[in-house]
Amino acid sequence: MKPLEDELREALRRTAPPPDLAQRVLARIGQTRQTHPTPSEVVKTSAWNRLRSWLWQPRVRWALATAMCCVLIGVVVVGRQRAQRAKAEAAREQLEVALQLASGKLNRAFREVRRVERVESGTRAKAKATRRTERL
Amino acid sequence: MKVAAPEGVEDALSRSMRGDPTAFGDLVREHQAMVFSLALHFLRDRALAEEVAQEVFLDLYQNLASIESATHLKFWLRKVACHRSIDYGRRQRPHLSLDDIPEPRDPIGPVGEDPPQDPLLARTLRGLVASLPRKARMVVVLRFQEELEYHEIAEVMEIPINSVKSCLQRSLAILRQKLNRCAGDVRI
Repeated sequence: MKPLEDELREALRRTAPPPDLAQRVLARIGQTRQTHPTPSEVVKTSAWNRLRSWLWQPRVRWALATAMCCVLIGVVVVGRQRAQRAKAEAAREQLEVALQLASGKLNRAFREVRRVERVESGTRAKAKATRRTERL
Repeated sequence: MKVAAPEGVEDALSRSMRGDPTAFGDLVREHQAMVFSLALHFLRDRALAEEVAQEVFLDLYQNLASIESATHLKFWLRKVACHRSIDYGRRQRPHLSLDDIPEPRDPIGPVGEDPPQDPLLARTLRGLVASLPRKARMVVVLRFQEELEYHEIAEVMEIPINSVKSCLQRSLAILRQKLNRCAGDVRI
């Protein structure tokens, strides 16, 4: 006697279906195809339809609107920062030019003062020498 | 035409997805014995089993785009056939006792060349399997008709693997007990 498992395997072996089962299935598919698209059409359109229906969900719409607002605010903030930076650059350049001019003028004035001092000290030394010779 | 090789099934699958009805017919012919037998062994009613098989293949046609490979197709068909059969079984009488089981109008014979050695025992066993609760019955059919492993049955039926193991052990114990009771002197 075989074990129960083997008997079950034999008893539950695959059974031949009615010979026209496939034809009947195809006939039913033929009936439904008039109302439903073919699988290839489903494949072609399903991705777009899925995307469209996904985009049309209220949650996704809100998320997209929020994201667009964030992008707009970001663009405005970045634009303002750039404008401020450009102004600061221009001011710095002006300041540099002004400092260069001031420095040049100060240098010239300093040189003039030194020259006058040198002339005056020379005159004073001559006068001192003249007075000494007169005393002698 | 019958597509036996997996490459043939893959080819038929891709052609079916492009809308070729002949290729879809090949897919149906390739898997009809599996789907029909699952339903038949579960429901013990040829007409109902045929209806289930037709619905499963119609369902497949509508969901061809989601099928990834020949292996996935087989898994998908088993799963849908299993759940459809359980649904149909739920609409049938809730529970069949051994005495209530009618003899099939058409004798259920296996596909293969060599029939079971003891047709009477095979018929009794099919009747006893039909008397099991729905979940246990499907586990037994998947295990002994499709020769699936425990984890495969668990995936198809969407139940934990431990439930499959315990269900199968319990079912075998019940079947052994009932068979001994009805066979009398026949030792299994």
